[in-house]
Amino acid sequence: MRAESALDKIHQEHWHAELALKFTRTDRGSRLSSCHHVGPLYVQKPFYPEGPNWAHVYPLHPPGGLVSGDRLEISIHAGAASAALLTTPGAGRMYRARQGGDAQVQNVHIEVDTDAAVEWFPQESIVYDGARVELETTVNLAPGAHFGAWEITCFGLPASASRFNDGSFRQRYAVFLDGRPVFIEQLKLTAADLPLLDSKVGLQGQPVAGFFLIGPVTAPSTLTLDTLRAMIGAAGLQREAALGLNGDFVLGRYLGSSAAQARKLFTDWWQVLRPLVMQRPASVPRIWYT
Amino acid sequence: MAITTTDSALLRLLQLSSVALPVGGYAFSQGLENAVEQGWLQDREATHDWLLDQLNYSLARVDLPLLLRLQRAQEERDISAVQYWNDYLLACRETAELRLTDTAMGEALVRLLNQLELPQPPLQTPVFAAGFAIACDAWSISPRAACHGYAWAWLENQVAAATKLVPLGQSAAQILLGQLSEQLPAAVDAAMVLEDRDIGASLPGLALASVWHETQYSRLFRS
Repeated sequence: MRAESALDKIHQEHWHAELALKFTRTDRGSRLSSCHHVGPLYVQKPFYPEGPNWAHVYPLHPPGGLVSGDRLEISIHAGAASAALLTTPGAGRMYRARQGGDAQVQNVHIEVDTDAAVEWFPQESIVYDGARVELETTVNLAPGAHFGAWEITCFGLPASASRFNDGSFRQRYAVFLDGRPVFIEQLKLTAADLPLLDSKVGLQGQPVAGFFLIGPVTAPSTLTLDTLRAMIGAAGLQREAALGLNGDFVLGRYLGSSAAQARKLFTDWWQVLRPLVMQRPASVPRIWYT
Repeated sequence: MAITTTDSALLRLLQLSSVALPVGGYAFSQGLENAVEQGWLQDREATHDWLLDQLNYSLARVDLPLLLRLQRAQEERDISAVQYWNDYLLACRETAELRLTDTAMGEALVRLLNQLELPQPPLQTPVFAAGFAIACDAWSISPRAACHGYAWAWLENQVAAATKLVPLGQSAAQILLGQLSEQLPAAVDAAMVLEDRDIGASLPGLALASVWHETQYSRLFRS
């Protein structure tokens, strides 16, 4: 028997938290026109480091993690011609589930109207051994809308021997453009699927997997793909990362040992691609430097 | 819906699942050529695991459940559903190489079905599974049998690629086909009970190899 720890005390409580954000383009720029929150999930006022037309928002979740029974619901709606970049100040932790406890759930729903843009760059999710996690991100793009995102997942605690070898994990990411599915990815790790963690087709024993997605793009030149691929070599990640065109989206991937490495590479790619896809120079959020 | 497969339907399924079907499947290795280049597949055992994991985590969760939905939609003559599940399959493909494999084989199959005078919905960017489903519906092949035929065609094509690339001897290839085909029915069973919200996969190792194949210095297969 383990001694009761502070973590066990946290496990006694359930938190349901919701955040619903609506951005509207007005003659004063992309305003956060509506913001509802329930529980420990909220935003302070938006920042405008690159001018009034592109809002920067940092959703805050002070508990910093999810335990059994916790549920986070985030909804982001960008009205026609509005634009917003959203990023989180810290990693999301998915702690070991209580025996017989409910799953920990996070749902993100993003709607991007005509000529609007949303960038959703959460910091990594850290999945503790024994967690029971359901993560779902659904994105609906209207014709003319643009979307950029990444998703980085660490299995087990980085820099420790405690890897993920018990529990369940389901991460679904679905992007639709004008009602048509354009990107569907689902990583499912129930007890029967755990061999995927070591499999050559799967995670190859690496603790960190991530992808970077941006589009739609009108056929990027070979030159651009070459430039983006050269960044992989420059970072010394030839065996950890790859990038290509997948339909109308540029899709890059990382499979390795460091979430920080993944984030750095994705940020480098984003700085090249944002001007091409969204006709706007990249403006790196200050919190990424800290 | 047909429950049993008649003798004539079985023969049509053999025709559809044959490596001789002129859809150009032999031109694609679906990540395997680069996996060999990376040194991941040096023998029959490693090749077995590479293919078995794809069967269980990709075919059983993407191709086969979508083939079932495509055949159902075609049977109901629901053109928008056929297009939706067709697009869904493409959206699940992780790389340009894997998409091209599907669209190139899909277009070729649709052309062939035209010559065989099979009725077809007007599909945009038809994937191979869509053409396969249309033919199975027209030839009254049961959905379960269709899944076995589709998975067999994939398996035989991959083993043929492995024979050239790993390389494997002809007997080793036959042993591999035997071992993996024993696993097909369980993969089909899993596909048949999968719900819509569980369709999808993520195989990062396969995806990396497939993207790297695009820029591989020398290669036998298309990318």
